[in-house]
Amino acid sequence: MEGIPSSPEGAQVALRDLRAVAPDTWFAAYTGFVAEIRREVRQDMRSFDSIHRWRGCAGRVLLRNPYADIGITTDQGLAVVWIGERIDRDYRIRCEWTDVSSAAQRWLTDIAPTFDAVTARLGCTPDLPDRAGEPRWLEAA
Amino acid sequence: MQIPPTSGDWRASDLCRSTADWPFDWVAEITTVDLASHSHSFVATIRQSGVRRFDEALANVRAMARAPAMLGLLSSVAHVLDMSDPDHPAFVDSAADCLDELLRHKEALRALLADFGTNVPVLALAQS
Repeated sequence: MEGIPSSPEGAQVALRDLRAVAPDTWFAAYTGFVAEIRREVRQDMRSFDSIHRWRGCAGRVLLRNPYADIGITTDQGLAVVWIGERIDRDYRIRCEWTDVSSAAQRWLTDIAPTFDAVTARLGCTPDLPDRAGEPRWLEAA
Repeated sequence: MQIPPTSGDWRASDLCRSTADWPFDWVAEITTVDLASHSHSFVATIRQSGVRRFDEALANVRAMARAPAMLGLLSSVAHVLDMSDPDHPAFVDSAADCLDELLRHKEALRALLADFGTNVPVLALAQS
């Protein structure tokens, strides 16, 4: 998907377009958006705690609960807010003892509409407005 | 081909302890804000021995975070040296042009020194 920052595999994503923000105010807008995400998510999804970690170079984890991470990835002025199953060491150790992953996947499916509602409140869309009319099969081509 | 450091404005996080009790390490993170691509990404975690004094460890982190800026300034100074070298293709037969080029970087150099709390005149540093 050209122009859209990558997000963790299998994650549910929402996009916010920050391309119109002037370069000298971009970082302030970005940090403001990060604070907004933390505040709004914790309002509707109380199991999440604020955290600061990185997944790879680009995925910044902002919130974590026992099953999932919520994070942000930025590139080319676009911000992708995503929710995905945890991959950190503590979680992997838990997975070795019990089948946490299946429970996490079920929980992520259940919580998907709530995540959609929260991200919509944050001004995010499932896709870019100028790409919304494009047939999905073009992405694979 | 030499690979340049990760692009963007490198920023160091606060210096923190790795654990609340001894023995701990000093840990800080460097991230980069690239205004060309409008992105914020992770560069490195710096881990130093907790035996080191806090202010010394902090100075080390600052020095590492300013490395790309220092590299940029060194390249600029090397370019001025090339301009003053008769055997180099970039040679300009004018001391004034060389000085102008050097003075173009004066503010960046002073800002860098100020970051380290080194407010000594540039000339004095060069002579020491």
